Amino acid sequence: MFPMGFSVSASAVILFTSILLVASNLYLAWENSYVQIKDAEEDWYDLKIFRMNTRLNLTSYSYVVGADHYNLTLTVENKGNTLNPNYWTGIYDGNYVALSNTATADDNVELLSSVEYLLPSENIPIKVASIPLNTHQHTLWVFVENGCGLGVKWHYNGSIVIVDGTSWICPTEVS
Amino acid sequence: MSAGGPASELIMFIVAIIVAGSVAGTLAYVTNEIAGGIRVRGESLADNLKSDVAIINDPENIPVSGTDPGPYNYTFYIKNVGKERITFSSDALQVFIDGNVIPPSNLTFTDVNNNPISSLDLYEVGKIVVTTTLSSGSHKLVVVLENGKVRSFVFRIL
Repeated sequence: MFPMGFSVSASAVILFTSILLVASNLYLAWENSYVQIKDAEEDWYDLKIFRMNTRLNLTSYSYVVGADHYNLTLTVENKGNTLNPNYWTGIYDGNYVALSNTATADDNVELLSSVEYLLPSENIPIKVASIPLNTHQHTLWVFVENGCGLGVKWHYNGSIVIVDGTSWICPTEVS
Repeated sequence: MSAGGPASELIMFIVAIIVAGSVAGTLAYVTNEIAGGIRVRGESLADNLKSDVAIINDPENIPVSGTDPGPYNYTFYIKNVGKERITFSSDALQVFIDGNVIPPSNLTFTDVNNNPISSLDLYEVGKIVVTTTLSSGSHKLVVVLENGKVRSFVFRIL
């Protein structure tokens, strides 16, 4: 009825098919994970390179002194790769401020330009309005989309506004 | 040929098929488990590489509220600078200050308008309000994301 050879062949076919399925299943899982990780790795490298090539510099500033307050305009130059000011964030005297000039008037800090992209060597003015007319030091941090930020410190000395210094920071990995 | 011949061959055939089937089934089950593990590990690693946050406070001016003698509410701003939305809640994030874990009950996660949120979209800024008492001087904040990614920030309390 069933010669022994047929049993062996049938078993071999089952095992061989099963091994093929196993191999293809493992290969698909490995291939998917490999592509996913390679893609993520590329994003990770892109972010690192983006941060290394990101830099803002304060090129000039101007101010208008009123009766009880003054307005300061900081002109910032993009010294690195193209940036998107729509994703920038401001921290003024420690508190969050929306920088977009289309945002609701929640604070006195805004970008005086609505460009979508800030190309290398282009400037963008940032206005800080209604600063109380005293000699307190103020700080504005402008964080770009990749987390790097330019800090500017200034004070009014009774007659003029003086920029005390600028700083530049970028997030780094912590293990 | 005796009558027992075909029957024993049939039994041998069935046994051979059952054994081969069992081996194949076990192999398939184990392989599925391994393939599932590879997928999960791959997704986890990819997620870790794609997610990133920045703590964007002014290190010399941390917003603080509350009345003496404390505890006070210290506000830290977290910006999602990665490629994926991140979970933003006490279930997913651990916060340490000077090496001490802050209990989830002392953490509040909101957006910049103080509305409670549970996730941060790309480029979105969220607030972590930490209720504790800190002495004057330098401190270190460490935020650990759900996937184990760590960000630290050294700040000064005046």
